[in-house]
Amino acid sequence: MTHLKDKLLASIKAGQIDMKPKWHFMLKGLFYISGLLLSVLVGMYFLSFILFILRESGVWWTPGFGFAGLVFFVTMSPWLLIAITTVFLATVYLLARHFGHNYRHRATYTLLGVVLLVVGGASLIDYLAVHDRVREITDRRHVPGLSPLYRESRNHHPRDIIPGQVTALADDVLRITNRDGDYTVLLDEAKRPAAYTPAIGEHVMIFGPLIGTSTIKAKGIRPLPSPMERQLERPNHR
Amino acid sequence: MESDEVIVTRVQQGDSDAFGELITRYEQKLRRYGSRFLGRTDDITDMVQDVFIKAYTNLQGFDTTGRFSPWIYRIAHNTFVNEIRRQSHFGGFFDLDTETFLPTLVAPESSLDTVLKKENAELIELNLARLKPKDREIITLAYFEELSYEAMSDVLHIPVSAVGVRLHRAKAKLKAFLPVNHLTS
Repeated sequence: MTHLKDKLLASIKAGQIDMKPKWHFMLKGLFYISGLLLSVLVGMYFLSFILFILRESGVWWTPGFGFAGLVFFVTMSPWLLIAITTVFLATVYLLARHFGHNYRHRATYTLLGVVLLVVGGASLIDYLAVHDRVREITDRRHVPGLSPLYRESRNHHPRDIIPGQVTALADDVLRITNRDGDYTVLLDEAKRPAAYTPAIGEHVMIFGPLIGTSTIKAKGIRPLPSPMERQLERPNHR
Repeated sequence: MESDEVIVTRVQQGDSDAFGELITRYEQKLRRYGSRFLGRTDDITDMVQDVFIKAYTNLQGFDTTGRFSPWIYRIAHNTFVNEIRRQSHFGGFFDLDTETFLPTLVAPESSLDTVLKKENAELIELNLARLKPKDREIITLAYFEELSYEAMSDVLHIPVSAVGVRLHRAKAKLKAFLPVNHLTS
């Protein structure tokens, strides 16, 4: 017992065993906290960007049109972005798990805390319309990393979601117009919000396949959600 | 008697001789812990020496408002786990524990309430080797090193509630090897 103690103390005094300086641990802690904060912020930003794309393209509302809408929602979701966001969420979780004494609590609490934090932050970014503002900036000048991202978001307009203004109305058929032209919409199989009837002049969102160039076999119709209004300003659906 | 944390503060301030006192206090404990956890006594000296070297090297990173004992046991735990992996390629030591995630019905119990009867210690020691390292470790920490649930949580980096569950399971496995009525439950 004494032998080990003597041996170690002799090595320490001879300078063979060195103590890492305090700043080493402070720097390590700083990197750790920075990594955690950065992962939280990036996770929030990407999650809110996913919401932004889904809402602006109209995909967000398709599950309300039944099973076909749900399948469409799943297939048209930006899976690459979702995968990237998941990686950041996992990083946040792992860093948070080993932060302080978090391991003392059940892992589900940490997971729940991370999800609530990131979803809360993403909702706030969404509420503050940060992405609208950032896109306006990227429209005016090139921002490395962001400009391609927002340019791609503009192209995320599925063919089966068409916004337009109602110009004529009859039983189970209506006509809409947008900057691409006029469409005849067949509503006999369309799902719609309870007690909803479209009116002439109203902006609507139609979900369904385009037959030919100007007829839509609608699977769903609803008033145009405000995030989609921008789509009425430019042609991109044909 | 000075607390471990006061001694650590002295070492942090440059009194390297004070580290000798920490070696005196913990060498035997770590030897015991290591030999029971690993189920052998050969090269324990080298591993315990490694633990002290790591402890000294990282001592400035120790927050003296916390407790030193779980901190050094944590270093020892990592050293012994690495040894188990190196020896047997036993990758499953850190298998995902369901008790880390899911609520459990086993109530945490105080280690003092469940300290083994002294007359059983020898019998338990003999049968400890028949358990897996993970079970051997929790039994060793709870009954032989008499660490609290919070301290075991700090050593093993698992939730406090999971300590109770893991201990309960390890005890049940150990009980199966013992004659009836030789283990308090």
